[in-house]
Amino acid sequence: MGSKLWICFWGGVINAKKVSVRLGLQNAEECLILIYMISKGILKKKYPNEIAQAYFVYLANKHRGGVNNSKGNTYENFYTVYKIAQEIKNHSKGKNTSITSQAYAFVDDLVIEYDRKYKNRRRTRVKKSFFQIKDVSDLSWTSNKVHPLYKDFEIQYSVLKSTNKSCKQYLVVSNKKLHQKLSLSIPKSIRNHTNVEHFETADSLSKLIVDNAVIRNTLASICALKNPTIDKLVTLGTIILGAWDASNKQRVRIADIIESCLDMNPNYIKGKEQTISEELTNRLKAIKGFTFTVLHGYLSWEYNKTDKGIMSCRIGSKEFVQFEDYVKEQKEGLSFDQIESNLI
Amino acid sequence: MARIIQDWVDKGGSNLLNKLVDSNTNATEYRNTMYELGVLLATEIIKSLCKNNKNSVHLACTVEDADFLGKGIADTLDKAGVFVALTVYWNNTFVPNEENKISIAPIIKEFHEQIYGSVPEVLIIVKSIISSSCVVRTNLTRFIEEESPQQIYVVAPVILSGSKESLEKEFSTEISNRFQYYYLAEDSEKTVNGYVIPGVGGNVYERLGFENQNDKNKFVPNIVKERRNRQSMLL
Repeated sequence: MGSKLWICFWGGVINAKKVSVRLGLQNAEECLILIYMISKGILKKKYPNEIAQAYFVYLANKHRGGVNNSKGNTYENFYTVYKIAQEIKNHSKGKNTSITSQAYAFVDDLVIEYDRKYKNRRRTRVKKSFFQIKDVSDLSWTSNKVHPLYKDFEIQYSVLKSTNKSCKQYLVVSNKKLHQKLSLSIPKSIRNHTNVEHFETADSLSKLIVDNAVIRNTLASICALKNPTIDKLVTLGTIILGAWDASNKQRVRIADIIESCLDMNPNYIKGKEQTISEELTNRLKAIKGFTFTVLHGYLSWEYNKTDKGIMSCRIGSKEFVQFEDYVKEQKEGLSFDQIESNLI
Repeated sequence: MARIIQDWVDKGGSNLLNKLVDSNTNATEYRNTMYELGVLLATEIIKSLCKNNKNSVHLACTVEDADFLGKGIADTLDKAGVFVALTVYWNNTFVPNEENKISIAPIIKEFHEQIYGSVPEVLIIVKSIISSSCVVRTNLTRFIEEESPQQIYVVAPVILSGSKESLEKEFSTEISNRFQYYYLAEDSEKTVNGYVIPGVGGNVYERLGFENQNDKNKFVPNIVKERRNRQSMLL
């Protein structure tokens, strides 16, 4: 994942490697300059020269600042994990949905390009959502007299619309009172295409999952286990965050994130339904006091009222086959004591 | 900064800590030392239980600590007439991404002694060393999903400086205000591999005689087998 260098910007995306080769550019830095020039061109088509130049300088500085600040931004990462989990849930609707952090755009913290297949259409339609993510206690649409916040949403939507592209835009805030205030005061010029979203934050991902029902329920919906406990959801969330942090965060396909997550053991991502062999089923059913469930690729078990667990390895994996072989090798009349050490 | 030994710890306690750190201490001696440290910690805990008029507790520990540190605490409380309901967790600790280094410890297996009658209000959660608090946080969160202890005693022979604050940040004030800590020593340094210095003398699985985490997770503590048998006789 991340071997291609894609640069996502508000006008579209550029495969930096391909463009560099075609135009004889030396590196990604030169490619970024190309994007600056394209952006300047787009802005000049829409606005008078002086205004276009001012917007262009603002955009370049905003992008530079965003890239510098993004590494330490926990809140942005938490929200991104939530959105990735949402898109993993929707993955069957389109394999090429991708996510970008710090896109070259006016609303730039996160960009999702959706790949959705529509019935009765031969080709896939791609839509985009842009997110500005703020972990602050106070903010206003209009207080910055030089470049008020709403202007970012207004310019971006206006220019995209003039190039026949549409999008949805979101301002995401962690403070509930601020969310209310901003929702009630969205400027008229952006009301039709911009929403304010509240997403609670926390000091750590594990605390977030305990406190924030939205991310907890979303992770639960992609978890292989029925009624997953918090430690399983924390495992899943942390693995997703790890896969995201390991990427270049530019146009990363959800399919690639899922693949990275599946390399971890355990990962608890909902997999295809699998059955276990009839022989293994019968041997396990015959163990006094032992019950088990096979769901979405994992085997969960209970023994009397005292013990329970979930096997870390997925059904069908090399480790599960070793467990199955071990059980089959034992004599009839198998007891829990005989298999307990292998139920890990 | 040098190790800080708690005021209540006597020479015997200091000697036990030194034995843990001594690389010449073999696995059997190490296990016995952990048991004795459990006895010492329980003696302190009993003072608080008596003061608060509590005569029953939940005791939650990890699989590697159950037969040694955990049993030392359980046996001592039992002798003092305190009812102990045991919970044991098997954790699979790993770091999914080496860049962000976030550690997780999902519970792959758990044992809970069933309680007939009134539920203990005190939870004693035990760990051989509290460093990143990842395992204690995971197991305490898991326990709180099922029960509502009014007092939570966080117990370890050694803690790393800052680990109390790290642990408290993971819980609401309503929960963390129930924490009381029982430990013998506080250390402030770690090696590049993440082991506390002097800590408990390196990798606790290896010192206890386990080959690695997988080996530790295959282990079934004797105290678990005893408690299971006790349960089956009650049914």
